Amino acid sequence: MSVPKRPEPARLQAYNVARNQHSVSGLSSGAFMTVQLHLAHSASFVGAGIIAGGPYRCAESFRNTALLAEDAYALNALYICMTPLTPKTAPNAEYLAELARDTARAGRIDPLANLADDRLYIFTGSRDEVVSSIVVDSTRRFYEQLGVGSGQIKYIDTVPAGHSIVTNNIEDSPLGTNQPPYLNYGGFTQSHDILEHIYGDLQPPATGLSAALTSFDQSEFLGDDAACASMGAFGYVYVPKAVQEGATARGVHIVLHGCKQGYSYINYAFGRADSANQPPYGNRYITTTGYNHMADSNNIIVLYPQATGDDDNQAQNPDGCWDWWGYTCANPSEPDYYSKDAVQIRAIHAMLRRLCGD
Amino acid sequence: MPSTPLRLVASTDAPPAAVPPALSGSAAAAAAAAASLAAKTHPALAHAVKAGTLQTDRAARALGDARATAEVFAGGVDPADWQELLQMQDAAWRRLYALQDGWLKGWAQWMQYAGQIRGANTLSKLVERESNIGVQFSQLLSAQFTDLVGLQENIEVGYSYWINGRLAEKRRSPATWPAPSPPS
Repeated sequence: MSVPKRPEPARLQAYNVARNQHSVSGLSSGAFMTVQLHLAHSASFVGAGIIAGGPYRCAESFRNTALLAEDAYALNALYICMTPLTPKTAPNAEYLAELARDTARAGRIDPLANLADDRLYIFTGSRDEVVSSIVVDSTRRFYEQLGVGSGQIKYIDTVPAGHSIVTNNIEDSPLGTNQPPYLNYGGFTQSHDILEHIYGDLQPPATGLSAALTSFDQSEFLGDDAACASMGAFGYVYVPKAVQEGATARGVHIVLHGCKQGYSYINYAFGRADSANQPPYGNRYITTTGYNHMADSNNIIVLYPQATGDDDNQAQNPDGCWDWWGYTCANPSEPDYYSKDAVQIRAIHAMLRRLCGD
Repeated sequence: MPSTPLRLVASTDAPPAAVPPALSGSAAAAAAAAASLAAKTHPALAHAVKAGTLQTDRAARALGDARATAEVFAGGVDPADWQELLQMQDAAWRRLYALQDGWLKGWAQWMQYAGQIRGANTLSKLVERESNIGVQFSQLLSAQFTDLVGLQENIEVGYSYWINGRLAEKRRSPATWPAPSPPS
């Protein structure tokens, strides 16, 4: 038998989608990226869901912690933005809000006035040992500084969850766990809560899916920056059958996985890719977290961009995290990971535009 | 570059007054040039330069922090600062206890694994098993050492961030700087 020829990956298609009614949510590095994407393109979004994520550009809180910019931002990310010892050694919401205003004035992100009527779901597990609740509280205060009313923010910090997206799947880890795949059983489906808070009057989730989750070619959105983008060859999208048949989608919800949760994640054991033991965390994230069922009954398209691990010094990102500390930047001293020009943000927004037929 | 009026923490623009001399723009440029040159030459040299850069970072941070500490607490320590320092110390101890707890669990699991030899019914399996015991031992030591260095870095960076923020506050408004008093 001859070896079958691998077919060309599918191109992301366009559908009828309501204008600028989109939203984004993510866990951990996906939550940090959610904040960045939300601010960079706030004109496109009506809300965001942030699970264990820090405020905008917090990795630049204290540049003078190292000689080299890339070292300083890595130290900031690890110790100020993830595990600060006390609230006063955590990201400063007031300072970062001012930094965001400067970034908007420079035209590098959409005007911040777009945020005023957005709805935010912000969650931190009280047993999270990876991204401290102190940091997530700073994210809440950051948005309040930018004019998002506290009535629009659903802030939850009382659930005894570890670092995870909470699911209703009994096969997932115990609630207080802080380890991969970062999918913890908590007796409720967090993705449903996120979508309900953002969009309001939603139908209950479908019991079965009307369509299939499909892969698409991500590389066409990366262009010449593919080598430093740290994004996988494929992304995934769920389009309810009604939308495929011509109904107008209520919006696109972008789901950003956390570190070690991309479809192509391979653990680096002592610096070597352990490709013989590739964990299926990514597939679980896109199929079992509940987004698709809620989207199905409400004609919402779900877009799952995928980051990938890379430890070759071109993009220092072995865990396949989204870039929130500048690893994709050609010039670390002048990072642009947070702006509309950032390679990952540019690619994800191009996917969104494609789905909307722009 | 941002032109924020806030100076509570250092931003990416021109270094504030609290920046130690070793972290000036020319030093950063020299470090970047050294790292770039080393990367293009021999891997061993690149390793040495990187280690040197990181140690220089630590030394520069320590020097800057010492100066900042001396200036901030020149007339004594404000009660609020005492409280913050105690909170930092408490948080560091709690992190250390949590690490120790994890280490003990790791060693208990290793002891259990090393104490069992059932299933090794071929010579190749026996060799694999004995090798695993040794590898797991070194993995545990390596992970614990990494944890410890991480905690130390966390404390250093956290204190540096805080004390330099306090210094910037003091320099911004010396007239309203709180009068120091002993801790209660």
